[in-house]
Amino acid sequence: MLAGDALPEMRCNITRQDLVRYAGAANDYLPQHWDQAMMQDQGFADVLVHGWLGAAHLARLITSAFTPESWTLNRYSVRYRKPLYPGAICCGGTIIDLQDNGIEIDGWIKNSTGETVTTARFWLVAARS
Amino acid sequence: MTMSAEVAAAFARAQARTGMEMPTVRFAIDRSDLRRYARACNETLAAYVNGDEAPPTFISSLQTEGMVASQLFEKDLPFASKLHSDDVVELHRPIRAGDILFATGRYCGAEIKNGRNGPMLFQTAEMILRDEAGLPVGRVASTLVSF
Repeated sequence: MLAGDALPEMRCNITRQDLVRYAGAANDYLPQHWDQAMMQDQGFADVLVHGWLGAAHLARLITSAFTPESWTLNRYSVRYRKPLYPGAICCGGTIIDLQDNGIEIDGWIKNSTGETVTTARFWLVAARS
Repeated sequence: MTMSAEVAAAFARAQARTGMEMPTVRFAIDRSDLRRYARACNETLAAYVNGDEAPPTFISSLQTEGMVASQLFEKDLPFASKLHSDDVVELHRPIRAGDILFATGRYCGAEIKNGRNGPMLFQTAEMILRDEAGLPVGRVASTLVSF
């Protein structure tokens, strides 16, 4: 791979059951992720996917392409630009810089209508042998 | 920027928290916690699925307790909605099963920005994670936006 190359896109579907499972595993029980009536009262279409769950899927895209045996993901930043509702998502990324000892990647999540809802940047360093 | 007295007071309360630290919280990282988290994220890499090593976002699962988030952020706000806005993570080494870690939460600051529908209050807090020797393991800074 070279700088400028796109990572293979990763598509998955986030269900309400996924939100329940993630809430338990991540100790994140904020009502934004389960109280549909509250969210609709506030003008949202539905409950929201945990931002961190989206980030986890995006990180999964990165560590699948650059596995921990060879690369250590040691820094990342994520911006949640628009609400992400349960449903289909597509994660993708572009290599910004690729050196022998480090990689920088821009990542994104698009929702089922193709809107970019989350953007991120990842920094990886060569794993110590 | 014009803001109501109510919003200005909430902003002042939030700003006054800057530098506030929460008591340190101890975590014993269990392999089953790592496995459960990996499953919840649809992880497929063996090191994550087997619970040998934490996926890179696992650090977030320590925030609720580790930052004492419910007390760290200003909650008495004249806004109807609150959302997660940004995260910044630094990992000095992978978190592994058997680790004993110590987390300290700190309020980093507050900022007001003008949104399409009025003022938006951004609050940022961080959690610093160290091991038993006091060596840094990770840091996560999260920003919430109220509007």
